[in-house]
Amino acid sequence: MHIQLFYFAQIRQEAGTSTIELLLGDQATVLQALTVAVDLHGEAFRKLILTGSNQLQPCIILLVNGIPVPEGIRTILKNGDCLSLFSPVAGG
Amino acid sequence: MATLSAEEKAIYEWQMWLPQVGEAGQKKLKGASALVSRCGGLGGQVCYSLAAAGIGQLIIAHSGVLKPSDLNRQILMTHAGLGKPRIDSAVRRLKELNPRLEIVAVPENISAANVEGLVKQADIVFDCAPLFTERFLMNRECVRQRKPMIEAAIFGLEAQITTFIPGLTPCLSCLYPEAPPHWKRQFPVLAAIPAMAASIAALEGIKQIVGFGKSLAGTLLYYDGADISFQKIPIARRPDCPVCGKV
Repeated sequence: MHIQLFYFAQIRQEAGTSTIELLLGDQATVLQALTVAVDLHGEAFRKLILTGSNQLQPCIILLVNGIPVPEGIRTILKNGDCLSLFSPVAGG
Repeated sequence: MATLSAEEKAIYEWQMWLPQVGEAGQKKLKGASALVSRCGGLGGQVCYSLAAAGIGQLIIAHSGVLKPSDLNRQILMTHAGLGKPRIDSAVRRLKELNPRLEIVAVPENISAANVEGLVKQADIVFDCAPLFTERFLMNRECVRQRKPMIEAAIFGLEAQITTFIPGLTPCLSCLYPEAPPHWKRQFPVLAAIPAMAASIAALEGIKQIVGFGKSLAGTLLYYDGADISFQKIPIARRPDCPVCGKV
């Protein structure tokens, strides 16, 4: 299935792109999508979004199709889902 | 309630034509006090918008002297102010616009030592600080004193704005339970982005003070200046939030 990831703020800067499309197997989870993204973007990107134990960093906002998901990174994705990752910003 | 002089009625005539504001709303603005943390790219524009709208008092907290790299976005600063305290330049520019405005100029950034007293003086707080330590301090104090806090932040061509109302909405610690470990004090910025975020933040504050419209309470407004796209993201309270969980 096809999944689209959208990056914002520092995550976008670290990835070097605002969006990527992934091809994943059926029943793939958000974590599996993020793991593929980490393979593409590298270790600094991983540290920005995931903890050492592969949990989402507490300060990262995750949306699936524009809505927060209670299951978080364990959410099972469907073909065509859009994942958004926001990092906190404070600049002025 | 505050009264309006003939001069004030003339100055604010066009905004009092708004049925949502009127003379009663203008009096509420005149009677209100706002704390703005830092008067840089975001806070400076917030101060300017509030001063133009006729708020009665601004409490502005900002330390340090003006550097060349501040001048690309900090609209209350001038070239002649390089090397001088930014708070002085801010006061001068705001007084030029609105000499009736009462300004409490605090040449310090928000800290554990001053946050309680500064929030206490204000009816509403605008968080425009570049460091999460200051933002979390203000958030905690606003929750403790039950004061609304307008949150505005930018990074590059992107911005995030929301309104926190203690007891009703999430607070900053609900949104971000921890300071992001990778946040850097210096960040890419183009003046129009904080200016736009600040204008929205100022409008949110004016709506809170006057009491009209639908606020961003419970919603994080995100915009991307690269393609002028806006997104409204619902945000929820965390029942286990150590700051507002019991409010």
